[in-house]
Amino acid sequence: MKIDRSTIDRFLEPRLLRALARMPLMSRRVVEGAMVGSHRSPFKGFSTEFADHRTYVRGDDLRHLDWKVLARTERYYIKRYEENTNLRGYILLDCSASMRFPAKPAPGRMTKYEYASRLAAGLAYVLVRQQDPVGLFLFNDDIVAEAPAMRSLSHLRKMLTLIDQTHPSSRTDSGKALNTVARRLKRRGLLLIISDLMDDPERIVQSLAHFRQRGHDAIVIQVLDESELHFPHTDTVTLRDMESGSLVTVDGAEIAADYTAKLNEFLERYKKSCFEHNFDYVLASTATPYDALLTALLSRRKR
Amino acid sequence: MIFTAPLMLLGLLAVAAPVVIHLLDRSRSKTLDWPALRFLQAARRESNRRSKLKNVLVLIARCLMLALVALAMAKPYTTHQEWTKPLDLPTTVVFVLDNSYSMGYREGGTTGGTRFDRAKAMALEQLAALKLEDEAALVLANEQAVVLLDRPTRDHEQVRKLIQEAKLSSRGTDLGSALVTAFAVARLDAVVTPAPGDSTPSATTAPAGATGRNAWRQLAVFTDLQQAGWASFINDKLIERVADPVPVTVYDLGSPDSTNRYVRQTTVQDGTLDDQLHVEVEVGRTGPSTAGGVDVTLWIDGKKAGAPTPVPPGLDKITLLAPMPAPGVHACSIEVEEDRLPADDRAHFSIRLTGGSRLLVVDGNPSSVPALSETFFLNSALSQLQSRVNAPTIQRLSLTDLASSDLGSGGCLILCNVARLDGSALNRVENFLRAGGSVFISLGDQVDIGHYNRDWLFLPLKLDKPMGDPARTRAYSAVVSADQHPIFLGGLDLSATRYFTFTGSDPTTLKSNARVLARFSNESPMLVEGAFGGDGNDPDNTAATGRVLLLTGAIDADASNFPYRRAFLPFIDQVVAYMTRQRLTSRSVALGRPMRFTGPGTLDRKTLVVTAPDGTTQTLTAALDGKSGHAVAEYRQTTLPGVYRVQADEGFGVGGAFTVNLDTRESLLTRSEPAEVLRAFGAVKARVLAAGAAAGDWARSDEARAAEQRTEYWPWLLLAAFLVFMAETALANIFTRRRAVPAPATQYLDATRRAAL
Repeated sequence: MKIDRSTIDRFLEPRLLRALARMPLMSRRVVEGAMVGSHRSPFKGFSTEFADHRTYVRGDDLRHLDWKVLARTERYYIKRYEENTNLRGYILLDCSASMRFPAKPAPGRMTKYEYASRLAAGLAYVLVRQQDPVGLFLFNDDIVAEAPAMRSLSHLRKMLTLIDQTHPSSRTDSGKALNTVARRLKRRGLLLIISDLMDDPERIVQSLAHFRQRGHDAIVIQVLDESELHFPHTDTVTLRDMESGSLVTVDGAEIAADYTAKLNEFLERYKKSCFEHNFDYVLASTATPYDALLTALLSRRKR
Repeated sequence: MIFTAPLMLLGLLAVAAPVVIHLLDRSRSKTLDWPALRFLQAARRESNRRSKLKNVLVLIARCLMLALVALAMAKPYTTHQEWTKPLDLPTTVVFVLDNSYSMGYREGGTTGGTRFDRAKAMALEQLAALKLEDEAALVLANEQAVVLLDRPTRDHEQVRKLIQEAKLSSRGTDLGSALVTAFAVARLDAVVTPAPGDSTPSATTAPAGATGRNAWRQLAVFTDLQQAGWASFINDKLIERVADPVPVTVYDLGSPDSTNRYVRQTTVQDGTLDDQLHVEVEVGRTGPSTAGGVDVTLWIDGKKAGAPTPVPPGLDKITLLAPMPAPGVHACSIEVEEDRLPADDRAHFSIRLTGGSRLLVVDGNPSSVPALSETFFLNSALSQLQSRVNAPTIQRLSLTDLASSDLGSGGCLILCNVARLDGSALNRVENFLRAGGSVFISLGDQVDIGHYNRDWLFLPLKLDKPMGDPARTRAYSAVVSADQHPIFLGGLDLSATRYFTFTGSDPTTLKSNARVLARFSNESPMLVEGAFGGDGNDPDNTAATGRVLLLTGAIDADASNFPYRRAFLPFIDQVVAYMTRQRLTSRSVALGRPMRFTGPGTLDRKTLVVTAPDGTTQTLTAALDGKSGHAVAEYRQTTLPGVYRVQADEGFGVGGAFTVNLDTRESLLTRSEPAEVLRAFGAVKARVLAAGAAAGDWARSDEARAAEQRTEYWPWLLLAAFLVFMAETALANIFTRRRAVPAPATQYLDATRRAAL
């Protein structure tokens, strides 16, 4: 597949690359990597940092035998070392219909999906740059597209192309899709969930708990448009649900306060759930420059 | 309610606009995609009830606002129909001009025009606005109603001339009678054939309900609303006596802050003890700025008698002193400094001074032996008085001389033990008293008690019978009853006096103007003072001019030891001084009241010449009153305040002059409240208009007047619309401007945004 250069340039603008040049993305928990890397591994191997001893068994490599202990105690012990492994990151990008909002972005603005795509691209770039494999799941009510975790730049280009070629169109069932992802991932890693989370909060919270049970680390980035955060309409307006298509006519000036209150409850629920699972929760407004958002996020994640 | 622009009422259709807009707004609302509909639906459920209430209230407010604006643009108004002349009816108006002297108040200061001038100008202005078929009449209101036109007339020129010639009177006000008369006059235009000779119609003769002329009848009353003038109309409910009243417009020409200073009363001290004229002056003040001092000046015969004397603030009375003028009749007046109401700034009085005082002594029991004469001791006492500076001239008369002599018009006549007086002598004594003379009577054993009681009308009480014992077995001491009387002021003590016989008298017959000055120890009157010489119709002689002093005992030593007592000489001295005092004041009468002159029947057909203050002279002829037997003349032209000089026989007791003064109740400028006046009209349509608002009222066209007499509502409707607009805005704010609480999760977002910027 021919890689469209312009796609990469669009997602990874020079100013973004400059901003992310020295920003690592670290996991706050041990991750199971296949290669030696900068992330702590749950496995004890034969690296440079001593961890403990174990009794020698037949078949063990004699190079790891602790000769000094043998000389003193005449017992066979094998030296074990902390293993540093690479981070396996997975980007879970929401491509449900609500991510298409707003239909006509203001000048200098973008849809939630475009914004989320740039966040995903930035994070993928950071992982690839630090030699960590990164995979991609695009989901709405199910997994729409996926890419395995790899750490090459060509893989990065493939992922970006896949993101670019996917359009938010279908209904969303984030809870179901996230559960499916959780079942597929066999090894612990860092999950980067980028979505507006416009679904039943109970099911999404369940999915987050599922990820936590499987030992994943996660960063939840909830992308909302500025107008969603601050209800902009002051006159009577008929609103159509972008996923169900149902219509509601409301008096904007009258309903704004109640809307904001309900939204606050909604956001608070996710924030609280993420805190309970020790996940990072980031609320992203499309009015916020995504490079600044990523810089701030990565700065917080520095060890 | 009438609308100036009724087509604007079509604007009421605009009331439907908010409803239509509301419906269209719902159907034409923009349809937009929205991702977070779940929150909107949840929020809408909560705000649904509130929203419905708000929508209804706001819709009502907007509809009401539009309706109010549409009504305001139609310019609704109501008219006071009772004061708007119907276009198809002629007018009949009776002008009632208050010409009491309080209307002479100068509004513009001491040189400005009077209220009466203004009233006439307003009446003329309204008269000029009348049309040819309109009728007018004129009534002047003072103490009496003066009907200058006995019925409404179309001769406006005649009415105009009468108004111009109307003069301010010197009288008070009684608007009650004037209004009753004016109501009757207002209906007289309905009478086709006037009753001949009926020049002063009254309410009882008013043709109630007469329908000869269908007219719009009105009374236009021009007055200063003075309380005294309206008192009878308000208190006596005179409106109830009016058979068929017409609407009344009262033009208020007064003002609540009017000030006035005036002479309320003057009193001339009777007597010439110190050769000074003593005049007690009482000054009246009304109004808010009259608390300061007032300068008063005494004028005698047109000349100032001394410099103006200030009446200090807080005091009302002051006594003025002036040198006693020469004998004769003098016109005097008291003047306060001129103010805005000059009519009452001067009060008049007259004094009459006779020549040197005379003493006429009549001995009723003369004797060739002086010591046996009745007047022996009296003469001895009088001779002691001759060394005094102001000693009276003593003249002794016999009873025969008394019947033929001219007793003059002053001094004192002493009658000692006179048995009786014949008709001529008695008349002369009575005339002497009427002319201001004094008579001292001492009784004795010769007195004919029956004659005295029957014919001596100047006796202060009836005599009874001789009392005591000529054999002197019993004595009666004398006790002073009136120690403040001038005769006893020096502490004269009569306690050592003993009378053995005297003439008893009946105290119950004491006249009202008489009093007992001394009594015997048995309580029988000893010395009694009375008066005589007033109107013959007045049995008590309350307006008497002559003074009578009656000693019920004898003046000689036959019946008492009085001549031998130490008190005798000072007693005679005091009695003579008191009885020869000059009687200064003349008679007075209120302005407009008739002056009545009464004399003995012998003066029948005698003439009296009265000269008024303006120089006009009138000759009166006395006529015999068959009932009383007196000669009576009456002078009615007391229309001017001042001193009226009279030339007449002394028997009329005129004193050479009499005075006429204003009724000072009119000087009190206290006003009736307009509301009180309106209440007095009861069910009759009435209004009180301020003079400024009333000026030229009739001069305007009917349309202009109607425009002024209507109440416009459009400003109030616009104000109401504005208030509804404010309420609608407030309602919308209350329901929609609730503050949205920022999401807690956005705190991090805001921090990120700040870092990015």
